Amino acid sequence: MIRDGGSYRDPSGSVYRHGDRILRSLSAEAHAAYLKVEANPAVIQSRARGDLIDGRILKRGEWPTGAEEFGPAALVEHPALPCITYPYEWPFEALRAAALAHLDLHLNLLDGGMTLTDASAYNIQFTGSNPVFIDALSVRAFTEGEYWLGHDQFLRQFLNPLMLEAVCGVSYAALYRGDLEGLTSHDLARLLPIKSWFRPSVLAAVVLPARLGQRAVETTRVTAGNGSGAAPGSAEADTAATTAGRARRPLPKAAYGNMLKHLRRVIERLQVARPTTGWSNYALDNSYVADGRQTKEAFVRDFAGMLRPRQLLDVGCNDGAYTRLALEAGAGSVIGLDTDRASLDRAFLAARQSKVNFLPLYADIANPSPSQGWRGQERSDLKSRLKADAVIALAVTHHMAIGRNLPLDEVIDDLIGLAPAGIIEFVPKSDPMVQIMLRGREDIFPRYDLAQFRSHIVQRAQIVREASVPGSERVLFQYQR
Amino acid sequence: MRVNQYLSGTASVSVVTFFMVTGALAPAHAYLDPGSGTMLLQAIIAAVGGGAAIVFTKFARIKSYFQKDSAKPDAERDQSNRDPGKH
Repeated sequence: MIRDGGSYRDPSGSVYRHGDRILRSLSAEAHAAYLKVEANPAVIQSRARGDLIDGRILKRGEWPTGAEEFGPAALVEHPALPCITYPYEWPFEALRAAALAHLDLHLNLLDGGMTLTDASAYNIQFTGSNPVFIDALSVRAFTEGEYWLGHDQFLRQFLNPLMLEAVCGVSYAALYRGDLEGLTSHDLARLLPIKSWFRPSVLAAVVLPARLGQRAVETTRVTAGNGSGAAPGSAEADTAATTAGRARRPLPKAAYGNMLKHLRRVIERLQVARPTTGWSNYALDNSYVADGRQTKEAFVRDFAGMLRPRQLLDVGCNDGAYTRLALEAGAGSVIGLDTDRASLDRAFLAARQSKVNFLPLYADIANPSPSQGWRGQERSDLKSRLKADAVIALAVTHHMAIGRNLPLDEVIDDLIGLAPAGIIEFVPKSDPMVQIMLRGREDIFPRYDLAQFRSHIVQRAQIVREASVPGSERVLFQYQR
Repeated sequence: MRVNQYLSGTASVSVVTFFMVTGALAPAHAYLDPGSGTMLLQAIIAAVGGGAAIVFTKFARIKSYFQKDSAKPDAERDQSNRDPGKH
């Protein structure tokens, strides 16, 4: 059993991996609480809907060897998810769906007299494009009058990044990947144009928490400096707070629920002010693709039908047109990677609507998310999480080799390394797309040609079949290593 | 800003409320830093009996009613424009 690198915050239990199994240890106290949570009608309902992850308490005899060493009072087994993903990899629409799912679950739990301990976006995962809440220990009994302790975390990890992208048209991905805790209200308020402060949603959900937070910090400093002797965070301050805590004014449950509903409405109505990009209409109006489209479609369909991969990876998935074909032909589930946020959003919404097992992610294959956080292990690197049986990389290699100056042999090596079988498309220099890339720059790629391309594949895998794409000089290769 | 003026007048109340709130965390889930701004915001909501959340909600709806919004694919919003009497 290996403890998950990100599972250290909650002292009442941790998540462990044991081979392919996902196990959660519970302290004696957490075990008693968990039994009550499990029996709650709202929890049962959320689980039945698939909004909350299932879990089964294991009998002692079912414990894997070595489990006793960790000293748990009980072990819960959860279904393993095909691929763990992080909010900084989710396109806007996926983060929005995750935020709404979090609020809906919370509202449902409140109805049943339960609540959530925190509001971490990392507690949401996707099966296909369906969000599911995975932290079983976050669910606990609601105490009348209590405050929403996860409010600030919810804003940082859900609302603020969404607001940034919606209002400014700037992706939150880089900021989020840089600070795993998300974006503070204070920073966001400074980034948003002042005129947006007049929007009621921005005022209530961003500016107000930001200003109040600043006010609280300032007044705490003043109080500390005025001879009260209790520096913020000191034992004296803690004691004073604990003493005062007994007399706090309770928050009515209806007001608690209204806060959640208000955020829900704000998030639901966000619209992204996004400039048109070169790729968002790529699949729609690309004439040369139309010529060879049938060949490509047949190639992908045959490949997916032949291999029936459990998990397929679509590198450069765009709006997921080929993904859908692969799913129809027999792929179990697909993870798509792309950097065009408009296309990713379209892909995500289409997958949600048609209920296919497809999750498009924002990821640059030349710069995948690293292993990071506490001890560099809190959030693992993207490649270690992508356990694909097959990969398709259509119209990708020229972006890497020519667009990014990456050595062609390494590009092929990297793609073939992603899965034991796959399709890689060669796009020649004569191609209009490559010509656009080379426009205004020196051609420093004398060795970029079909012969080199083929030889790089052959050095690493076996070419199962290949096909020329009519109307172009492109070639599709299917490999097996 | 009005809220700020209100707060500076009642700064001591705010500080007390802040400590009251942050100090009231049950030990079992004290591993999460609740954040000062949101706790103060909730203290204000609690002080006015949940009215603030309702005010924000209503204000947002009134605003969206008066807003001439060209980008409006949202069916729900169309409906709220057609039938303002419901709010």
